[in-house]
Amino acid sequence: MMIQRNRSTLVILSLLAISVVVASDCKGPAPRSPRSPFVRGIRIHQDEAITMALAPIPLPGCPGGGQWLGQVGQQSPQSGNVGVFLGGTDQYGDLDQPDARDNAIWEVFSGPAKSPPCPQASATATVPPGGGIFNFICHLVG
Amino acid sequence: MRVSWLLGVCACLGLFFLSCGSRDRTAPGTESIMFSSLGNQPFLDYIYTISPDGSNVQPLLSPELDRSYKYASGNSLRSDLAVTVHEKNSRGAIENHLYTYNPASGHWQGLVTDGSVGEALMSPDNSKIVFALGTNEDLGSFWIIDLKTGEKRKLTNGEKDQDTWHAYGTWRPDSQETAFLQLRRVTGKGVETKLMASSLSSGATTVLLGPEVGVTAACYSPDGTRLAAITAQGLEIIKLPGLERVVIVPKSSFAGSQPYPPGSLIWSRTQDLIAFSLRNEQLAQSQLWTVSTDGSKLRQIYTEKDARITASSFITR
Repeated sequence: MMIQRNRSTLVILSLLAISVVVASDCKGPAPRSPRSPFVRGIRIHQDEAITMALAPIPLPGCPGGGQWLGQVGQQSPQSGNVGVFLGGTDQYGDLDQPDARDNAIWEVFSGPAKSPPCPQASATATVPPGGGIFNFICHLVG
Repeated sequence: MRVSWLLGVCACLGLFFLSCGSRDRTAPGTESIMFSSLGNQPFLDYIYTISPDGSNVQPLLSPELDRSYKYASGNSLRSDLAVTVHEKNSRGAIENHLYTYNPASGHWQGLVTDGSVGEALMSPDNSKIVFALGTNEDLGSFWIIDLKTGEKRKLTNGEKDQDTWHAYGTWRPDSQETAFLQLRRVTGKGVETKLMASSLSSGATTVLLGPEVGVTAACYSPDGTRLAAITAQGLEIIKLPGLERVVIVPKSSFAGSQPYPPGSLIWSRTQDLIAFSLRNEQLAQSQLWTVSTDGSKLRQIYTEKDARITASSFITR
């Protein structure tokens, strides 16, 4: 009888322990960045300074593009084979070329915008395997 | 003994379901914050939901091959959302298109699949969507589409030169008026902003706040009698129609961060809560913050590196 009682208690305690373990796994700490790695190509982002406010503004309709200059190493499996691209930024200030060759040196430009004050800016940098972003901002506020 | 064993099993299972049940679902009627997170590579743009206390971060729309999600707005996860989808058009060029998406049924419907759509704002009564649309000739204007009839028309007409565009809008809770920013490049200075309001019934557009205020985001209170706005001074509450302004969070409280991107400001319909996003350049960090409408209980609830977070809607689960 004593053995049976101990056995049933053990079963209950075991189930309780399992449920607590599973439950704690369910709840867990809130994930801070559940972003999955889904990366390729080049994104150009263009901001423009704002006269009075605290923050820059993403600039739509700004021309941009890039030119592949040379390979650093082997392209990643996600890489495309585009070596030159042109376009304009969207409403979020972004110009994307997902098929750009990665693990390579690129010269990328943004601007000039349709009219001043955002002049053309360019940058030469290595786009790592998986792709990368080029951020441009017009700092014209005194 | 058998009874006690059964009771134990039931208790354990009950505990299990109680614990796990709260992981993905909050109780019906509670709100989550919906926000977009634009990544640092093409097609790395997500829509997430998060509980106002910072728990339960859930991807609602995750990138697929050549398709990601730049903005989503709505009122409930059981009704249609307005979603800006980043994808290729029929010519292979990458654009942003407007869809409705019903999370409950998984149904998508394309509404604007040509051009560069910006944020798309579902009206509080779920009958209309206001959206920003840019073309080669127009940096951005607001359009409105009636979801019953499919009728589409330009909302913001009038004086607008080629250096001016409209973006970062918000609905008044009665679905009869929108407020939005008019942005204009100024030679040698950058961009200046005005906060405008446009009545759907009369078509009249009025200036609420001029360029000296430096407003970069605005949203209506649940009863439509006030606006919250991010300005050069910080986070303000503006009483309508007299436009009396009170700073509830001065910019010094942003602790080295700055409001970014523009338009990221929402007001809960059921709680005394406002949400907005900041960017800390030094930390390369985007942050989601909440605050009570009197400026108390300011807290950072979520951070992400190398991304641009825009709070778009308080949404019922």
